[in-house]
Amino acid sequence: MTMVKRVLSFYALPLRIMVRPFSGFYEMKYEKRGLLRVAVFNFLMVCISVSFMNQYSSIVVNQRNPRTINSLVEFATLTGALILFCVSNWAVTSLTDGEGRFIDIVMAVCYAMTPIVLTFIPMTILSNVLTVDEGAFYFMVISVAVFWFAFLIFSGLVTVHNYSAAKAITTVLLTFVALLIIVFLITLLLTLWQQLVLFIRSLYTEIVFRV
Amino acid sequence: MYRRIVATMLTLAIIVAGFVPVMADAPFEGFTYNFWGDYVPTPAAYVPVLSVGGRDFGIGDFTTPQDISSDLYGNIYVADTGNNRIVKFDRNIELVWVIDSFLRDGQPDSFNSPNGIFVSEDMLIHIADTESRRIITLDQEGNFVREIGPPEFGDLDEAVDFRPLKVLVDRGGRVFVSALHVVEGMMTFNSDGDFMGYYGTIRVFFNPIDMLWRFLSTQEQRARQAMFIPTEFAGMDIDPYGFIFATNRAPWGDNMVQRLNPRGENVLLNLNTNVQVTGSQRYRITGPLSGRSMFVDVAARSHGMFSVLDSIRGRVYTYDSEGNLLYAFAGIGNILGMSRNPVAIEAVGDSLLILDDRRGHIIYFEPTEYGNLINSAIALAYDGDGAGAVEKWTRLLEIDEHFTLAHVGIGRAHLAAGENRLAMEYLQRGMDVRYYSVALRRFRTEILSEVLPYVLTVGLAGAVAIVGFRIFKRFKKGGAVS
Repeated sequence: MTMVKRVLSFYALPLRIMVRPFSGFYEMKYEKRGLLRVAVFNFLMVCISVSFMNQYSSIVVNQRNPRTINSLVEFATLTGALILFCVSNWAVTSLTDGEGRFIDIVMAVCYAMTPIVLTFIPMTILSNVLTVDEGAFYFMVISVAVFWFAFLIFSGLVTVHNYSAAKAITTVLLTFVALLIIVFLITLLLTLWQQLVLFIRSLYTEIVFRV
Repeated sequence: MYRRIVATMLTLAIIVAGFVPVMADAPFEGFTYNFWGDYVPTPAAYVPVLSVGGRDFGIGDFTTPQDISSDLYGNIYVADTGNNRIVKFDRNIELVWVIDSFLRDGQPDSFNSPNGIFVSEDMLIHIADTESRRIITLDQEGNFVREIGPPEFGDLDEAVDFRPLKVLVDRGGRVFVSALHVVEGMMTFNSDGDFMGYYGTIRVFFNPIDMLWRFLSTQEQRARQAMFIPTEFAGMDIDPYGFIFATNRAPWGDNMVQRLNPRGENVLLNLNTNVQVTGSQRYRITGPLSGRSMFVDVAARSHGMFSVLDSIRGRVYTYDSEGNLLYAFAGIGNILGMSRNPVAIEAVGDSLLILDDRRGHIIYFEPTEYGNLINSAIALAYDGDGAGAVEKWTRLLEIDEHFTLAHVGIGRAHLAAGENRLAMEYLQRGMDVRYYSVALRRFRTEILSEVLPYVLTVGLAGAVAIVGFRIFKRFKKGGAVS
């Protein structure tokens, strides 16, 4: 019984945040009950759930080409998206009087992922006994979970930055702008770097051939 | 060592070549596209066996021949466009006759660039005599039967430049003509040669990106772009059930091939996959052999199958009656089995003939064991002989285990036989979601009806036991009090 209790107490805050987002995030930040290891655990569970769903949901709901499914790529994509979003949100909110530290943002986003963790794996298993007509049920649950996840992120950001709703919406929009800028800069940097490498390499070739 | 292997192989090749008159290997790779549109190599369904030109009959080379047709007996008729003549040869590739002139009302007459030829079921030969602006009908002896000139529209007749390219006649004698720059559809004439109206207009669709592009371009650019108007039909054929297959060369839009019912409506729909009959699904955008398929001709086959000819890559794509791709083969090239500029395709029994206008040759293709299995399985399934089809599909899977339709065919047969678990397995491999769902629902019900009685019995017994135990306890308690 103590084992169950320990698991429950480990995962109590994510569950509480799912049903009482505002007070939950308040406790996470201001009562210092948020733990990075719980956040990382939650994120890893999401990665596993998404991979599990892509791999094992039935053809009725998932007609992806099995050759294009790669759990490592999915893990990298999710991690990259998380880091990008958190960094750009941090960049924007630092300029707009947000109270949240970087770690608060990461924790808020990761703690908000609980609906995905709780629905994806059960729905994947359930999908294997569903027919085409009942597939709508599957998609409904999945989309409710994703919408709830989005709302939780939003309420998390509102709480950790101590924002009003209007300001939070503005910063979220600005976050996406910052995200695009970051992606653009990374692409630019990579291209320039490639040019530089090419230049040095051709210089080397010339020298080797001529000397 | 290496030398010895080569020498052995050469000897073997010579021995094999000595015994097998037919070319055993194809110069191209047979392929198909899977559910996700990936290119999947398959064994060749057809192999080239022969290439015939005018010189082989001693009548000089064909010059840009544009069309071939066949009759019920397997005779081949060629519209030798550049030489203004039509040529007939029989199934043993022996010349029957050459017609370059005929007597019309006692006057000698000849062809001027005949682009289309069609032999109807009553063995009459219909020729689209393009530059003379008429359709000529001759009988087998070359006697003049009928001429259809430009249609008369009353007030509008001066606007019509009637240059027929392809002609087709159905069992009822209705004449269908595809004429150059006539974009309203096929012109139809009754057997007396009176104009009846248009048939099977190609509807024009274009996507929002094209529209945006057009919106952004200047007046001069717009003038240079291809216009969004329908094109005339490029190739036509009629199947034994009276459906007319027609292709068009439009570089945009859907319905690259249509199966038209007698009312002129396209009834070629793939209800299963929503996939359009598009030929190439993966292709380069620029460079040589690029762009989407351009279907210049279509050959109606037996049992609802049809083969279309893609002139860009010289390939032949064969589909079943539902528009599922069965096999694709051939290509652009110079060796036997490849063509330089294919313009027409004709089916004679199970063999396929491609007309190459650049070289003036007709290439004969014969089905391999693989092609024969597919053809016969589709035929059996089309005729409702499920068991026979399954036998063919099973043998086909031994050759090519990735053949999707075979999995679907076997799965559906299992479903009909009530073997739901097996049906699910095959239908899942065939990515047939609809039928997989049906199999799954039946299998689910089967399992439930087996398991549920036990579950309910045990549950009920448990509930009775618990209630009984409580009552017993209370009774005992009550007894103790009293």
